[in-house]
Amino acid sequence: MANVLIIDDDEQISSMLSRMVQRLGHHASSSLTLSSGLDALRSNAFDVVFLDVRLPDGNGLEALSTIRETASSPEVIIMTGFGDRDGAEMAIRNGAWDYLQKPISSKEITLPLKRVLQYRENLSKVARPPVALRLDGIVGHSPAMRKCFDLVAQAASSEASVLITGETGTGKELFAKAIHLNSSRAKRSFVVVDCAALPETLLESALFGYVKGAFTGADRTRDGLIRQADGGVLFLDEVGELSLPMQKSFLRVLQEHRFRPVGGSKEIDSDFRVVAATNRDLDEWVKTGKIREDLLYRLRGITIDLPPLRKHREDINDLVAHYVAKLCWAYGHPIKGISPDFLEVLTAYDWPGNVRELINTIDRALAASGQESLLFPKHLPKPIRIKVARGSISNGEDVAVEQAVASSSSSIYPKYREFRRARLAEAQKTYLMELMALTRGDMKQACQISGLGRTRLYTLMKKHGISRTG
Amino acid sequence: MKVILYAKSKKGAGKRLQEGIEAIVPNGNIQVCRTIRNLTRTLNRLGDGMAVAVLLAATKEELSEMLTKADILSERRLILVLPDGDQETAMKAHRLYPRYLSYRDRSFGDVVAVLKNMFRHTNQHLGGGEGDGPRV
Repeated sequence: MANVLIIDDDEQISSMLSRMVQRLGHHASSSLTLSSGLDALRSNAFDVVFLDVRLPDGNGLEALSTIRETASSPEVIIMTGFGDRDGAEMAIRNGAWDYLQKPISSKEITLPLKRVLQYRENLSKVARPPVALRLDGIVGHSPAMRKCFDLVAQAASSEASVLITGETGTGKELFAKAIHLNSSRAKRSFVVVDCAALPETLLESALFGYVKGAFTGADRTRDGLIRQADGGVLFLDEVGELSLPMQKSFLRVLQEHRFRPVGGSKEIDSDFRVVAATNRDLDEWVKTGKIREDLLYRLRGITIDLPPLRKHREDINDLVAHYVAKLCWAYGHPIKGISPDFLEVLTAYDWPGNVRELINTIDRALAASGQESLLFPKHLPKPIRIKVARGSISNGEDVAVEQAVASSSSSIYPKYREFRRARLAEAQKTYLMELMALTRGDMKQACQISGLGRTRLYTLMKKHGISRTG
Repeated sequence: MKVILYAKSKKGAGKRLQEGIEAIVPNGNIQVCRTIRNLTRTLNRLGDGMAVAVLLAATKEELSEMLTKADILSERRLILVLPDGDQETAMKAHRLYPRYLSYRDRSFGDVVAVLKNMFRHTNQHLGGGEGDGPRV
């Protein structure tokens, strides 16, 4: 017996639906407002929610994500008395199971309810992968990220093609690698096709390979990336950048898993799986003719839409801790501490460049912190601090904010002479270390390359504590 | 955007590759490394900034040496030049997740063309005006 919640302000419809659900052998509860429905969801487990759109205290569609994120993660069937295509699309995009238009007959209710309950039952049998997912380099535990991890698990256990979408810097390639790493193809290659970097003139030979004599310079037969992905994964990064003729050629390969190398006469098989990624709105691109609809359909077996960082700020603490440790290790420094106000600024910022921008910012903060063992907001780039400060104040005080940030910075900012001395010493040290590595400690060669005299070179090396062996 | 070139030898393929890159990338934005140790140190020191590493594995042994540093190398945008077109070599190469594969016996016009596109694309993302793009 399943638990079904009906959220509808129309008492007649609500009681009619309750009776229908009970007749099918399930337990029904009803709420006449959105807030009472959300309260019910927070205190009880439900399998299915029938949700009206226009409720006295809010819009059902807007509450869809919140409902899906409650503990029992119920499936949601949207009901509305107003035919609305955009609303239907929004509902499905936000994870609704189905979209029904009132008046709803008993038959219209029965079928989706039966199917959704079958799906839930099946899900409970295979819900969690037997082993933990390997998520190398992916950090986060927010509901938004957990939803993505579930999709990674689902993708890893299937052979369907996967389309990963998301803004620049959200980690699309990391997710593609995670799918490969957790799949039965993990032991074979993960082959990257950088669709934006490969010039049109190279794309065909790079993808399909070529036979000897196919073109000037083809003095031997070479496998292409599709062949190299046999048994593994072909990752089409920035797939939206493929030209239309190339999309056509590639569509055929996707359908048949056979291709002909450039200049070749025989077709070759390749058992590859496609994972594609894009930061473009491919549905829009289909409308403008930039991407073939049939190709998009083929690529979209499973879609993973990665959230921008501003939509899962609760992961920022973990991300900062992870990357501070990682970068300190890479630089050979002891791991630095993080002050609470440093985290506060990072959490308040909107991160248009997403996780990649956050990592670059941490990198810059580490450099700015020098020998200090704790990271403070003063170590962050000024534009970020100014934006956060502006955002925290309603309006009309922007100038004051900039002045405040500038003056607080000036009190901790070093004098130019000190700054120059520190940077110069740093640059000298780096230069000398690289010089020793390059020449393997050969002082004669080092003098030749650097143009320094032997005595001067020794003096500088002594000053910076550098030995000939590096 | 910086280009880090790893080529053990200053002659032959290493020389051709360096000359090809130098023709399109301003001098200050190229760093040449002759040892894997120097390469990994340089990449570590770069932090997470935008950079492309062009690695010439002139022999299978050099490729194997690169694989010992896969944790550092595979996080970078790589263009990898392979010693041969063997299946086993390609399989090893893909463990570094290169964005483009070329071969030692080529003229490297392909590598230069890919680099140009990478620069162009990065500049578009950054809104242009970085002033360190290729001379195209």
